[in-house]
Amino acid sequence: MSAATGGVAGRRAHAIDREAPPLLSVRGLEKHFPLRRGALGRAVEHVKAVDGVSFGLWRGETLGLVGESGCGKSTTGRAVLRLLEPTAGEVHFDGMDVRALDRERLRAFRRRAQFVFQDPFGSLNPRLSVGAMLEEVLQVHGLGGPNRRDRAVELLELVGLRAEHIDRYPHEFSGGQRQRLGVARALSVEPDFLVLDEPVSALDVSVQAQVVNLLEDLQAGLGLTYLFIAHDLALVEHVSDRVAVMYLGRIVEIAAAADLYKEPRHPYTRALLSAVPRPDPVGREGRERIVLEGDVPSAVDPPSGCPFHPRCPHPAKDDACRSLRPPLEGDPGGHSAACHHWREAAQIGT
Amino acid sequence: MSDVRAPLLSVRDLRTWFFTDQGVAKAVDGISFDIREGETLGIVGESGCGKTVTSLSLLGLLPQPPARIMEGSSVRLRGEELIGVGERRMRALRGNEISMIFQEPMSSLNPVYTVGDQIAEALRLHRGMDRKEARAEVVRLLAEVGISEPKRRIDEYPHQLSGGMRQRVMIAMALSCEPKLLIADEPTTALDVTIQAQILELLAELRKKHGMAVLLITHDLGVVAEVCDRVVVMYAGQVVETGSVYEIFAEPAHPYTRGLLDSLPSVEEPGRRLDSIPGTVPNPVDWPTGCRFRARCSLAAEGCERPQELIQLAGAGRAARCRRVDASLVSGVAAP
Repeated sequence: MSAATGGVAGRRAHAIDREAPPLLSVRGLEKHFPLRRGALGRAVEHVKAVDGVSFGLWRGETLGLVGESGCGKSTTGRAVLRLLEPTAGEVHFDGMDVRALDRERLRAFRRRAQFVFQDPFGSLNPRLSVGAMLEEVLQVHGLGGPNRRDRAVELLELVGLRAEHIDRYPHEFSGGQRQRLGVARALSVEPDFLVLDEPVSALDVSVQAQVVNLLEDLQAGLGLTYLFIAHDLALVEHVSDRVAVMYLGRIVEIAAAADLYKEPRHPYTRALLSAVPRPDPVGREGRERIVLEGDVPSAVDPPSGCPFHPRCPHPAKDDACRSLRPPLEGDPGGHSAACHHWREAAQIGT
Repeated sequence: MSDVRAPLLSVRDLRTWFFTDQGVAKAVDGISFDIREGETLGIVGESGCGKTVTSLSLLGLLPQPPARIMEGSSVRLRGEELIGVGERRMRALRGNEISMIFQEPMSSLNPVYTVGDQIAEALRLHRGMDRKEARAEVVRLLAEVGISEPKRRIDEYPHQLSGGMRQRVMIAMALSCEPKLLIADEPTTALDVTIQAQILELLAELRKKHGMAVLLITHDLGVVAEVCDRVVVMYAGQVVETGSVYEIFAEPAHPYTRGLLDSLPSVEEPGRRLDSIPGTVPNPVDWPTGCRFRARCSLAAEGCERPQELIQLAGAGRAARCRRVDASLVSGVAAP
């Protein structure tokens, strides 16, 4: 096992070259939404949905982004693709400064970086047949040449649908098939990077597995890079090479999937993982569960210091936690946590 | 574990059909199960399998028409037949004997009344308390379901509470008349995982303390494994498998149950390719003939085109609706 692949090697079939520069590099990303407007139309408060997020994503890799509702994971995904304009921070994609792109070059960027939405029905035009929808996307991007219809059929087959589906309308498809259409549309421009926002959470369990397998096959076949946003921790462990956990607009822990799930260092990650119901009743009585008190605080006025400190059950919680924002730090293996006491947490073990 | 307690609730051949313009949707199509005093029974299945219609049928909460509970259906609460009982009697039973909580508490709380007023109304109607007694009891109930500062919260409106707190308020309301049976329909599905853990823990605690039975309706096999004693698996309006939670998870007998479990990401082998069930859930207006799972089943063979009854298996209350069930699991002959 080379140092470059770290704890990820062997877990997945494809190799990831971490010596190369990352395909996507995000530094200090912020997205603040104005909340209340004063008498002069000025925003007097802001929801700090994303509040200083940094990570790298290497070619062929899947980074899972997890957290509870309102943690900013979805906003992060949108800000990275500039579906929402970031408030601050840097986004670099394959050497391009994404935030500096003008209209034309932004369109070129979007040809390489696509977004797949949670609700496939809400993101498909109900009045366009599947063929018309795909052909329209191809036309807008000047792709597919004179045989756009052939290319549309090819795309349908790529995502496990059939040629005869081409003249049907979105309502004629089941939930799983609609998500396949969403993926087909994203792939129509031949991107190398997909932001997948809760791509299977609207689907039934048995159908979820079909779509997850499809996404994995496509990644292996086309060499795609994924930012996989989801709240389902078991699913994220399954699909991801590395995982980042978000809380109140910040990444609180990031590591190779196996490391994060086996040896979580941030008290929030530990609580989150212990709360996941396991589909195995044996030994459920003795299972250690960290039940957090209260609810997630408001992102308008996040707590001082470590934003998790009011709910943190860590025995070593101290004044530093209340006053100093902990940096995301860790060991060279790439396992980092934003906790003043991550070293002790690493020692306490599970 | 043998159990000699008489069932608290006994459902026999319940059929709830919907008469629509598109045809007759046989949402619940002949299901039977028992709930014993104090136990937690899980009904698990995917969308459209009929699990929610089942729970609403038990409480007489479905508008008729379009719904119709068909002839021959029986729901007995401690021997008393509930199908066809008058609305007056049903009202008395709802709340006093059976309560229900739903997935989205916001839609079952009245936005223009304070949470205190809403719980107090139940206490005054069902337990004949006066205003002052009811208020004191509401404060006690809110504290019992883990709401901090209940004296302040009692005067708040539903929109001022978080999702987890609203579900706690619903539970307080459901508990206000000390029901013998609590029906919880996807009670944690809309909640985040850490809040879900809080609510499941609260339900388990209250169940122990009050000795009430819980009927938990969910699509989440993880939740079932965490809290249920026994499990009913539904597919296409029918029960396809029943058993103790340990039996169901260790030795799933029906190919559908097995398929559901195999399609979950494995904790032991996170990278393992998921086994998916091909195809999609069929349409209730047009259930497949014969075994309803046949078209998606890898074991389907000759004979599966004929309707399949539940087959009793070894183990108390253990059954599966599959003619190809593993012979080692079978104890005897087909159920009547």
